[in-house]
Amino acid sequence: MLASKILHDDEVFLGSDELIISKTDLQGRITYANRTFIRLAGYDEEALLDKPHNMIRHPDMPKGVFKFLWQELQQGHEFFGFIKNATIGQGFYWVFANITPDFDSKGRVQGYFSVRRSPSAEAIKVIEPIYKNMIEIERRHSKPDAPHHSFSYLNQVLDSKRVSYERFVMQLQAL
Amino acid sequence: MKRLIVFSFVVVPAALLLLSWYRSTLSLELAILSSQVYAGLGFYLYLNSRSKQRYQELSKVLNQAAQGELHHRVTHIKGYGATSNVAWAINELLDFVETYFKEVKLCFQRVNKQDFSREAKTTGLPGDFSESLKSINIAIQAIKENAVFTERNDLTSQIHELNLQYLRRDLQQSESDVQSIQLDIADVDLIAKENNIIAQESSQSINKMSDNLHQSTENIAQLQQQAEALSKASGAVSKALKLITDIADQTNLLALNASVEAARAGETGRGFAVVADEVKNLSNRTKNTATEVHDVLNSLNAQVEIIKTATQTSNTLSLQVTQQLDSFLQLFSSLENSALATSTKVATVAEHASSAVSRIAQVIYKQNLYALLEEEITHRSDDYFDQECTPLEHLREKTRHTAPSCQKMFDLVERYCNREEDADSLIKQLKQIEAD
Ligand SMILES: Cc1cc2nc3c(=O)[nH]c(=O)nc-3n(C[C@H](O)[C@H](O)[C@H](O)COP(=O)(O)O)c2cc1C
Repeated sequence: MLASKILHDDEVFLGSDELIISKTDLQGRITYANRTFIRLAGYDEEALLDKPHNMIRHPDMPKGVFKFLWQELQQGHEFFGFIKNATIGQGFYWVFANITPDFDSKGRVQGYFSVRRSPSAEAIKVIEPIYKNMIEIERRHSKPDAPHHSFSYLNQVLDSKRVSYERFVMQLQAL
Repeated sequence: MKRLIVFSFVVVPAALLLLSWYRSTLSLELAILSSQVYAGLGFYLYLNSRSKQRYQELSKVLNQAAQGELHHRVTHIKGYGATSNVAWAINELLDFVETYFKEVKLCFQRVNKQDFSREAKTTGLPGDFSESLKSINIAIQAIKENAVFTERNDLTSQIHELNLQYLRRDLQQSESDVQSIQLDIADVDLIAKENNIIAQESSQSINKMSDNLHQSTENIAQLQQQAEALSKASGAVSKALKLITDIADQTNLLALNASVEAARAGETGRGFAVVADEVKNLSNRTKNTATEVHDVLNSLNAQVEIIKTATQTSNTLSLQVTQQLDSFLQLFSSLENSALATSTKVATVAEHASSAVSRIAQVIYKQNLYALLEEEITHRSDDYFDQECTPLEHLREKTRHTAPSCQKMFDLVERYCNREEDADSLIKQLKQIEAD
């Protein structure tokens, strides 16, 4: 917590030998956060449990990305993506997140599981300007429409590169 | 054991306290001390039950994991005090195990659907976990290579077959083109031979005609000579006739003289006898002259006969010449026709030849395109950051001068190279283009 406060508006880094892990219920309320999560975000466990996951959302993250995230999860797919999160002290950290549905023994989705890995620095250089443009587009549209427009911009970018979203982020992470 | 503790630490001191209070021997200090002991004891018992709860919680999570439910975790760890490290260690172990199994499961779910794009993510996991995932990635890569190899083989062999099938057809067509050229050339040859025969015939008939003409001129010359002879003969006739006229004149004169002498002498018979002699002579000469005239006329007639025959001959000759001229003209018109036929034939031969040439060009073009396609299939890279431009560029220029089917095929291959068509639709459309 202290570190985050000192690094006000500064970047903190997830080590390449570390994982940030969290779980949520079906509504995205945090049901578990591991120690790395707690250390980087700067909140203690009690402050995180039962809170919506957007509590660490960073304003630089376009809504369109989360719209796509939920869309994928609701179809039973896993999601990969680069996400910028906010720390308690208004610092930030980038992760390469993987979110998957959690099934109970009867095969029903009972929550979601997220593992974040240290992102490739090259990938962040590519994705940051794209997110900036998405945010810009979202600003120009009314709230309910904004995610749709920024997401279709993302799709245009992918189309021009003739690559699917997942393959794109995977290949970025491999850079 | 528990009962013994409760008995010796709770029941006995409480009974002693109650007894001393009843006997008014309980001092304040003792009361305070003993209540402190009780409070401590109560707290101890409370803690004991809390930690028991925690242990229960920990063992529950571990038992659930042992039954295969890896998603449970220990939470609210702050209250675990000294055991919180154990709680976090359990969580971390479960995090690793669950992450590991999820990775494996998600990868193979996709591998089962022939999707090899999902690698197991090894970063962040410790030791054996990440080592094992690395091996799994190697295995998936091997499965993928195998599948890709099979798929490529399958695709290239399909394309090979398609190519061979239509190559055979194209070559057959080229062969039949060449065959029809051969037939056309044979026709042209036949026509040329016919022309030759006709030409030979024409020269023969021209020779004959000139012979006939020679003969005809000779005949006419003869006719001229005959005509000259005739004119000479007619001169002789006119001379003879003049003689006859002379004689007739003299006879007339003598007859006049005799009539005059007879009138003067009257009875002299001697003079009459002389006149009579003279008249006899005259009549003899007249008789001779008449015979001469007859002879002349006879020879004239003979000449006329000759002329007649000569004229007839020349007539027949000129008739023959006319006939020969007619047939000569006919020959000419048929020569003209066959020349026309030859040139039409030559035009179709040229057409066939050029279609054969363009078909062969088409075959060669398609072979080049098929070769490039196979190259693309075998060397195709999945990585979009690593895409080279296709070798198609070399063919683009040529494509502009090829048949529409070749252009279609080029566009299709280009779309395939640009990943706008998948293998199935590539094969389907190739078949369609080749079949059209
Ligand atoms: C398992 C899981 C993990 C998530 N992790 C993050 C995260 O790290 N950061 C974040 O901003 N949103 C995360 N989200 C998405 C949030 O639920 C939320 O959709 C997002 O923050 C956008 O907030 P909003 O819906 O209020 O705009 C996660 C969701 C799930 C299901």
